[in-house]
Amino acid sequence: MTMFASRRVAIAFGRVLHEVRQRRGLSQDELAALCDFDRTYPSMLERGLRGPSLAMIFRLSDGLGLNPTVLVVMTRDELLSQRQEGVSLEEGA
Amino acid sequence: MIASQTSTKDPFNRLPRVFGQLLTNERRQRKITEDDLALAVGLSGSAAVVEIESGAAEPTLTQFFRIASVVGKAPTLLLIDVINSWRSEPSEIFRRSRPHDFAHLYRLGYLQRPGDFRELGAAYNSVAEASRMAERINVERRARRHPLIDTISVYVRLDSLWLESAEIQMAREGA
Repeated sequence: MTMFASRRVAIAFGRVLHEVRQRRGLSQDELAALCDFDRTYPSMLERGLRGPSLAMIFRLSDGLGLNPTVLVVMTRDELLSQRQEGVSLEEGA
Repeated sequence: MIASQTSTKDPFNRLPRVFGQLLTNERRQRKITEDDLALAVGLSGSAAVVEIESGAAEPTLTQFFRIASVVGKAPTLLLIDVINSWRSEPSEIFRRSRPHDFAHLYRLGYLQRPGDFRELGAAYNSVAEASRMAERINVERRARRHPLIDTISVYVRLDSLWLESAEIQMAREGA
């Protein structure tokens, strides 16, 4: 069983969020306003400084006009592509 | 506090409880103890599992991935279960705006030969329904010595675009 390390997941999610937000043509402030977040929260997420909870993923998805599965699938793909590049994803790595 | 709105009417506030109930069901079905789950997911102990299952705490994305792995489900499938349970509860917003996001999710398929994956045309609304149908179809396929159906593909609506035809614009303006 792969135990994705929390930090790796946060970084992968941050990359995905950054990409999706930019594709949607939204600024971090606009995304924060759409999701009713503190304006610093999207930035913390995108830099991998915070890991999202399940409810936060749903709120973000709603703000971005996406199905929540999109962010989860893209994050998992990002993690798996890191593993293919030889990055260890295990806890403690 | 991150989200500035935490009204009890906020549908997102129901998510931890919905997820907790699903987790309890999945864990009991698989006869996994709270202690075993805590150990496998990397939680501090069974009390942390109780908190998540009661909806008092919600999992991080990392924990969600680990929980999916422990209960033997693809994260996407577990998430779809969460979404379906969440949306099945009364909520004006989501009943009105997204009535059929998840219709016809599951299709049956098989490998005809290496590199040649085939899918049947019909779509089903649940894994259970698709599995039942696969068993029935496989009886005939086995008799004919055709490759057996061994895969359920999951389709999720990932995104949507506005159609911008003149007719639709007129309808929108008239609405």
